[in-house]
Amino acid sequence: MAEYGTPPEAAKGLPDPEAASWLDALRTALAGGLPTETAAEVVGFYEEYWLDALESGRTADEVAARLGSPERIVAQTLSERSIRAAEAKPGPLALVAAARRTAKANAIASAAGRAALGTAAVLPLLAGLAMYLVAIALLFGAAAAVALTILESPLVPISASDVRIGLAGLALFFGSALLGSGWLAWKGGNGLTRLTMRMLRRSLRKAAPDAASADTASGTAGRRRAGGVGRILRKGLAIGLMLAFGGGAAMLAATDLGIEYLSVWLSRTPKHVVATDKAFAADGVTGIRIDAQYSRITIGTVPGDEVTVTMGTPDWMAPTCTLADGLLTVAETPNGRLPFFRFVAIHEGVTEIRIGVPEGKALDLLDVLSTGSYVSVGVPAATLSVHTTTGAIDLLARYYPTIPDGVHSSSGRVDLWTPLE
Amino acid sequence: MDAQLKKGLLDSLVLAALLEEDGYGYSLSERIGQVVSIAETALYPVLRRLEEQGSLSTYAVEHGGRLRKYYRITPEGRARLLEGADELRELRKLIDGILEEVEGNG
Repeated sequence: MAEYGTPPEAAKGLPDPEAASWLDALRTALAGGLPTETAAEVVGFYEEYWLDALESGRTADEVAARLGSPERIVAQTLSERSIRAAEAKPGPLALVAAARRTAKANAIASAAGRAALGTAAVLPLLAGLAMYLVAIALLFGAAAAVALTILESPLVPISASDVRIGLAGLALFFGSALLGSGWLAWKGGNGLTRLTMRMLRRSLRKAAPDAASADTASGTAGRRRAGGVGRILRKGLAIGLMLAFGGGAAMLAATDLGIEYLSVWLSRTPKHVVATDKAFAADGVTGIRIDAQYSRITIGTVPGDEVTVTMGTPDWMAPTCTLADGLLTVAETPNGRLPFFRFVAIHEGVTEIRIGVPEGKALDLLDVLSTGSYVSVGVPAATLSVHTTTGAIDLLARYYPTIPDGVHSSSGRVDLWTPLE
Repeated sequence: MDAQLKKGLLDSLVLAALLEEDGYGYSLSERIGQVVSIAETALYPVLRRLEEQGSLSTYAVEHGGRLRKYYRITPEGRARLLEGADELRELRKLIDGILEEVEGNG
């Protein structure tokens, strides 16, 4: 049992070891969590309390029992402060800090020593964090949309002014849409943060109904109102976003690029299919090279003495069909109309390339390169090379008893095929 | 009890405890402890809050070789307490009404 009835002259040095260790624990718990000045005032108050209580005849054990543990006081204080901070200035970091500190305070307060926020707080907490993540993703998306447009613009021919306007329209349209929704998502996260704070307060009260702390502010912090300048800036940003969105849409609609190209991404269907129909004297063709994206490719025999080329090309691709030195080159290449979605505008199953070779003619070379879709080869070639990434390949077994080395599909099957007689 | 209401009541309680005589931390906790049982640690935040809002002023008095911090109620504090008292009277009427009903039907 500690001595009590401390003589006044010795009071300065806190003679009671229990008091000293209590105050040390308070100091340690406060360190880092509160501004130094505030922490010093809290310690000063309790130091005085200890001295006066001991002086008035209480035992150290009594005082310690009445005050409770310093860790608990501090945990409660920090939790309330962080809740207030998150209410005044919501954000993902403030949200997490408040939840973490409240969990700690509850863990100390509850007999079980387990951190408990309760479902009512955890649900909005997780939803709020998810909302902030969505907001961040959308903001990055907006930046990416604008950056992509800037990166793409040198690839567009200077003469294609409609494409340039449409490109700028796309940037404005997507940039503002993503930025706007990111902003709204962030505000949603803020709303959920405030809701979480209400639940955290409730869980604090439940864990420690009579606990008080060194937190000095009264009640919940009022919602921070933006000052005059902030409000004007915000309004300006909102109006700017709406103008950019509307303007971007108008630019897209006004140009040949057309806003309907956006739907290509979703529907995988081109608005127009450009037809190409060509024929070349069979004698002049010794080899065929095909470079395609997603069109279905069929190479078969036709009557007559001409090599025929029938292409249906989506209007975001430029078809080429040229004969030079006996090599017939058939290709579809992006024409810059789909700056963003060049790589995802799949026209698989919608467009096709059909090559007809007169019966009995053997090619020296048949070289097919396709990003996707199905390739069928029904003509003989001395050298056959077929590469697709996603499509299947069928070879007519009459000309190819085994699969030649140069035939390969990255993720599709390769089969030898015999027609029914 | 509603946290907001409780905070308001605690404020009034501390102000009332200082009406007649200035006090220091421990003596205030003793005075209040005679009226109602509250957590010891509830006192400090209330004092700080009242001091910050100008309801209390403080001064130091030397005692046994150290300084003791005394709290004194300011005119604003008095006004606030009177205001609070009006509200409390309203509240009492309400509470009495409720209790009469409850007891009358109990």
